[in-house]
Amino acid sequence: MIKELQRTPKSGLPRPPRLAGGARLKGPGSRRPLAAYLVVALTLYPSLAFAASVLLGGAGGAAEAWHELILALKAPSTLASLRFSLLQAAISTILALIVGFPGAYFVAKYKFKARRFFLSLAAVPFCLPPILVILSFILYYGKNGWFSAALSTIGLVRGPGGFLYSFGGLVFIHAFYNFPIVIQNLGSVWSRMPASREEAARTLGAGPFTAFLHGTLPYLMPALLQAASLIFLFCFFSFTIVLVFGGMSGSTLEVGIYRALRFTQDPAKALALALLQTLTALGAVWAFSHFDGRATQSKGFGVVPERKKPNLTAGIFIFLYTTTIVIFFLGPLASLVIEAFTVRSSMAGKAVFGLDNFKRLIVGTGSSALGSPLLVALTQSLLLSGTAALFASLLGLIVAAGRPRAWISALPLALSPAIISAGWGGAFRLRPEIIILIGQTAIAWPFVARSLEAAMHSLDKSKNEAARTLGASPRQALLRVDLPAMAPSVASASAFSFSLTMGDANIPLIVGGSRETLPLLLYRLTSSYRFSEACAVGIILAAFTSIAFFLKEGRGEIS
Amino acid sequence: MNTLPKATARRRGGIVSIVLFSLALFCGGMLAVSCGPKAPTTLQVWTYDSFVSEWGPGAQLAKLFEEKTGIKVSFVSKGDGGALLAALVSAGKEAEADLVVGLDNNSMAKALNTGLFTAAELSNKDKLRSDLLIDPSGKLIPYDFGDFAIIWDSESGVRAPTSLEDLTDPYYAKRLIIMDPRSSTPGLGLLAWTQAVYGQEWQDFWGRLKPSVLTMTPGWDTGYGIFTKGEAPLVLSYSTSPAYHKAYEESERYKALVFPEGHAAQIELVGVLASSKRKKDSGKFLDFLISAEAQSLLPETQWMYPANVEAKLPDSFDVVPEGIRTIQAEIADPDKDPEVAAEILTSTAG
Repeated sequence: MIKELQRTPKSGLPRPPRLAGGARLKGPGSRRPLAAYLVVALTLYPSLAFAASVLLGGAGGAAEAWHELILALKAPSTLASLRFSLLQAAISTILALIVGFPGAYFVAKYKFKARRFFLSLAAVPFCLPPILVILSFILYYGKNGWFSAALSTIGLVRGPGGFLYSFGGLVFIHAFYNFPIVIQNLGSVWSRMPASREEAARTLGAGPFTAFLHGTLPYLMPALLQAASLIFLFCFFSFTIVLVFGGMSGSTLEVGIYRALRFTQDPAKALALALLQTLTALGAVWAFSHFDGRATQSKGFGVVPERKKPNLTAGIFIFLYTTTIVIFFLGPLASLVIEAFTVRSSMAGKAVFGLDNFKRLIVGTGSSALGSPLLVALTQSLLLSGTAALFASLLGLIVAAGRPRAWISALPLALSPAIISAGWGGAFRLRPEIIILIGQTAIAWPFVARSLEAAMHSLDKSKNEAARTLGASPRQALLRVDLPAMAPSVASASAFSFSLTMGDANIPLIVGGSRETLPLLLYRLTSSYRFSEACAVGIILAAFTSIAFFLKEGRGEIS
Repeated sequence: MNTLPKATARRRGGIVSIVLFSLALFCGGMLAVSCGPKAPTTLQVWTYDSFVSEWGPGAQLAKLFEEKTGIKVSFVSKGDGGALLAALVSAGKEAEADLVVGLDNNSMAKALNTGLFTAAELSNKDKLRSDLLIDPSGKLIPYDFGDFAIIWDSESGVRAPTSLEDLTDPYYAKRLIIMDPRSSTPGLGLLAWTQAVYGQEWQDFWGRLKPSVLTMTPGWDTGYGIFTKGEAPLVLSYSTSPAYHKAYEESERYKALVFPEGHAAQIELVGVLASSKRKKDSGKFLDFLISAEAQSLLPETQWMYPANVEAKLPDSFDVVPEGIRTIQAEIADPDKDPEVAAEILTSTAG
């Protein structure tokens, strides 16, 4: 029956009224947010418990806690780091959008060889821990890096070498670290856009630019803003990269939180800074959702154009774009791979190619009873992250389906990672493994929910409405019409959450426990001088997370 | 052509969620089952992550201790260094540990303030370097230490600075990598070091040092990693760092510099918890940990000096320069000074 109904072209079905303020339509979008609120509440519980314990009965009592709180907020350094955090995040986001936008267009509109490669890039920002990102950029752009070497061979003067360690270097790295999110999220929505949107405008005599402005852009707006808000949050909370590359130009709030929690054991101050940080981040999310809500909701109709083979001009542009990405983004990654296969073990520090780094990781030192450090960590990682990613996908789906207000589902995203880890670390008297599992699920699902929300926005609501008109219950319409249409987005979001949980070292490093995962192994390697071996682990980590993306791309094309 | 979902896709929606859910349950179950129950008869030692890692001393120490005394000891990682103290503070008297290994001179005051530690009886206390006994109450015992030092890349073509003051020479502009005093132990170490050397004028020194600093990293690993990739010829680390390169890379390229002003040190501490129900065994472990035999395991796992003067040093430590004068260095105001120092470096003026 439903199959029949799907053939029904969108016709004059009455459009349900807009909800005041929410700018969302009924139908698939009817709010059933109870379950969503429950999930959010459970996720926030450890952090709230942490906040409550500070405010109600810290070491010096409530009065002192409040005093500390106000003192921390009034400190001049607080305002300075807030300003710096906002500025660098805003500029980084804009740059990432500029870099990613053409890629999203090519991926959505054309068939070309590098297409799948572009889509699987999205895994990178999430699975490489900051220290490896930094090493990769140093290996490539650094004083002795490949890029600098190439520049000097073709006669260009070697730069002063200080560019990386400046504000410019910081936003450059942020942009090239985060642009794959734009390709992934924007590209998948763009490829679902019906042709009617631009055609209508063109028919009415609009030029390509006007057609884009009034036809395409409003359609893309939710996805664009969603990607922007995600990147903004990442950069806003960025810690290591900001300090290393922008270190001398400013500092972020996250540094203060980290210090208060881990160095001075001053939870009241950490809470104060975190509150300020969260409110600011929420403000940003609210602003994004606000504009998102204003973007038109009409989705157009008709056929989604097939991806075509690029003509000559498009081919040239795709080639140029791919080259740029390879030079600026893949270069650093490639140097990381080379580093992983590089063995330094001679008097003169001569470097030779070889598998020694991997071998040492597989064999181990023999001092631990566990055997091969790499294989143990890999098994544990797959088990733990796989489980967490499955839970995260389910929770994300539940929340997205419930359609809570944007700022509520974004609440966990607007929390400081340090506070989240601290909250989970002290929250329950459970086995550390279980806390890590729950904690990683909790950090991953909001990302799933957020990208599914964007996908739901661009769903063709008329199909759901049609199903409802023909007697389907809201649940049936959701399960049988909306969900299947979203299956690719769900798969993509699951792969995404797998990358997130697979790459997380924060929670294990706060909770402790005996389980060794890949990021933890990497941390242990870098804290005992073994940087080349750390690169080897990083490569394996990156390979596994991008496999998730490749599998997904292989099974169902985004559209 | 049609964008509408196909029938198969529709069915898949339901099946997928069922499969996902059962998979999740299965994996969760596996995970729960595979966590073995804790044996209550073993001595529980809380420590930081790298102590128990493949390259740390944990496993070897546990084996040796059991061979000697028949007492089983289990090292429990409570996360990284910062998380260890946080875990102790939050668990308080209910901490399921007999001993804590891995506090240091920076966290000593906070750790003692908890009142959770008890004075330890040691049979071989006289074998410890006396300048390391920094806790007058005798509750926290030193087990290893490392002098902070500037490591110099001898193949960089840059000449080595001869003193702390020399680092501020314009010749060293953008040639030094340091760590953030707000978020790292070496960063705090540099702060204590400069305060000990310059007293009230330490802020002036940081102001003068600023042009020499290429970057300030949040942790030791990032800073040292950047250094070994050749970004700068100088990095803040420990005087023992060259020993690693000697032991594993046969390289003497990186050298620790001895400065005439003296060097500040990090002293790592161990303590017995007052709540321990196995104080006798805990005491035995403490004695063991500072015995020459156990101490000889530390240099090439912790890359620190043993606290016991009789412990044998491995050959790789031959490259660690002698004649480093360790000075007593404490941060005047541990709450504010790190912020002040970092602000001097990040301020746009100057």
